Amino acid sequence: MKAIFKRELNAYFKTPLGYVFAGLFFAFCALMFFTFNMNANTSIMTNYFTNICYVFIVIVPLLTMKMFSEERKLKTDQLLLTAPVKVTDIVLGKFLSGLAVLGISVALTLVFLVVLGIYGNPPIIQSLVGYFGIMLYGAMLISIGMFVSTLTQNQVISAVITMAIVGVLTLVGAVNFDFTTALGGKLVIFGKFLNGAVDFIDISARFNDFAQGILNVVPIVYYLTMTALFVLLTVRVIERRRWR
Amino acid sequence: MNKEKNTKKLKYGINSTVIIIGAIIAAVLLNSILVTFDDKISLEIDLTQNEIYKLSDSTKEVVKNIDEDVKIGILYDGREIDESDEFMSVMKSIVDKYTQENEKIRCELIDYYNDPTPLLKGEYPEGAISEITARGIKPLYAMIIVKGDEYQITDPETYFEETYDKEKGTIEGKSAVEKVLTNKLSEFGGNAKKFSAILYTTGHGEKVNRTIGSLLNKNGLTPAFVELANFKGIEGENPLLIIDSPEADFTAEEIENLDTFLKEGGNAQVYFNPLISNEELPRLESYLKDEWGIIRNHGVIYDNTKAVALEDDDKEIYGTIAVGEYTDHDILNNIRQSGIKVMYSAANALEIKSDKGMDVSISSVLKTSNDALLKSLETAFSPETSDGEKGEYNVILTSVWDDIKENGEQVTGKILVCGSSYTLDTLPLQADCANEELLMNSFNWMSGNTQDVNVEVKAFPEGGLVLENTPKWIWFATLVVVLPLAILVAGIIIFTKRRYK
Repeated sequence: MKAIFKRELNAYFKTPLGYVFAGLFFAFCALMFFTFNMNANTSIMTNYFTNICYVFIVIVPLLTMKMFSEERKLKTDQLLLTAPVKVTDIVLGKFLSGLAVLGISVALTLVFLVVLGIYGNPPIIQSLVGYFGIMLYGAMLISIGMFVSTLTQNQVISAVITMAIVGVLTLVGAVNFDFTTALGGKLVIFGKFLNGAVDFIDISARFNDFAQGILNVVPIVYYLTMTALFVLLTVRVIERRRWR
Repeated sequence: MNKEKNTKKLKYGINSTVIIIGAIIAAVLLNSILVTFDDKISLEIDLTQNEIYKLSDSTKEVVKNIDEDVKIGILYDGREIDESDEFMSVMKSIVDKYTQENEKIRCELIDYYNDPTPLLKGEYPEGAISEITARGIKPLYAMIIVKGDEYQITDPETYFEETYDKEKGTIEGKSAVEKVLTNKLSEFGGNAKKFSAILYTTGHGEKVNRTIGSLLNKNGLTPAFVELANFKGIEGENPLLIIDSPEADFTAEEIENLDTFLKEGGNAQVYFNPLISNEELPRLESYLKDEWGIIRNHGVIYDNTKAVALEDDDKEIYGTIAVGEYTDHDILNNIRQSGIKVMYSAANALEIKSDKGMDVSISSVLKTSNDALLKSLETAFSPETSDGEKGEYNVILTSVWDDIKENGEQVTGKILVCGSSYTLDTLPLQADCANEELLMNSFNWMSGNTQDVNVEVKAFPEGGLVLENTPKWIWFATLVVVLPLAILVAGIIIFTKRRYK
């Protein structure tokens, strides 16, 4: 797994992709930072973190679209699948390399804390909780994007599908729709089930605690279990291909 | 061979499907169980400065006991702010914590300018909306809390306090949102007895502190003035009489009216202030001594044991203020739990008459440490002089008189005497002490009401940025344009070098 991780990480920075990702991510984050902190004259980063979630809709697909799609297209996945390496190690190696690129990009944005420190008194621990939340959130989205990239050879399709899924999961909470009221009558129980399902997949609502500086076990476990689930799904898809 | 292969494929497919479904079910179950536990035990750590989002145990107790649907509407003006406004975010987040504690509590933001639909559709009582206007409450950040047919209004001026720090050039904020909301929720369905009015006596050079009026208004109390000579009580109403720092004595008729009022179940508070007048008021003081067992000692307390420094706007220390010792009195119940200081200044000592005469029950509310000195007024603020009698002295006393009328009705009259008027008419306006709670608790105790739930006022995290326009735009250019371009250019250079190596 280490070898695959190193290889993938190098690949990101031997090609322009890693730098484009880091540059774009930094630019978007800087724009958010300027809007919600510098222009609003506040050193509290709550609104910045809350709105960063929307940046991930666009940025994560860039990172994950080529993870497995490109390999399938170039047929280099055959080498990978026939190598004496566990599929889990392959998947984890790629996942962790994507996470590392995200981590480096997020680390670059720590300069915002320095800027806030020059002109104000930012609550450091509260802000670091937000950064921790971003990494967990990003890890989950990378695992989703990685799974989607195993389903298609085309990077663009992979990016678009990932964007759509991440977009729905991020924005579903903004639609204040009550299924119990809409369905009513005998379907109330079904309506409650649907409400529960919507609450479950609403990933941005669970991020609010991190944005506010609260470390809550519930969203931490949620993001970790969803990440693990999509990594597992990716492993199963690759293994199925190996078996074939 | 093919059959074997197909069988293996089928087995693998079933195995894979079972694993995937099992993993999904496990993930959903685990998260659902955690959410259920989260409702019962706290699974979070609030790492904000001052734990601003963490609800106190008092609040959780109040919220737990709510068994009917409660709707909270937070008003805002869409022309001035939007939902990302810092204060609004903090308010909504705090109120959301109430929803997490009890799902019967629901909260919504209402843009009363751009989208007043919830207000117009009758979801909130019309009386609530007209009360906001009638009381002159600024609607921005105000809350309308509806439970059944009852409603409560909150005045934003009671839950946001701002001070301007000249040195840093920033505005420091404090939030009493939780305190105000919890107290409003606890008032529902109640036997919330309140005084109909707070009547300040006049005609004896009493201090007229107009600023305390706004504090009383915020707590739903109306201050007014009364001449004791003409006062015979108010039919069907339950006012509280306050005698604040009198400089001249009362007439026999006034004392008689006061006595009749109290013996009919009335309540009064008497504040002395040696700095305003340390003169003897023979009739008033004899009345307090003979009928209520409270003696005013004209010595002035000096207690520097736990004194707090007083700073002016330039952070220069110009004096100290004493910190009172808690007693077991019911007025201090929630203040003791919170540990927030009650401060007092320039006080006459109060003594309990050993031979009370009439059947009253006297209790101390606030007292000094054992190392206080009782000095003369002239030397009270000279720590270098060692005159004065060392001991423990009372700053605030209460006296309760119980009787049963001929018709069998129980009558209870209460009087509170404070040796330092500053404690209860000026210090409550400061945020860093529990004096406002002490004042409001004294009103509740006298009216027989349960005490306000005491919740700490929390400071917002220091969030100001001191940034002029020019550096702001320089940073914009650097962070949004220059640095990302630098990263891109660095990438292209490294890629080009490696490619043509």
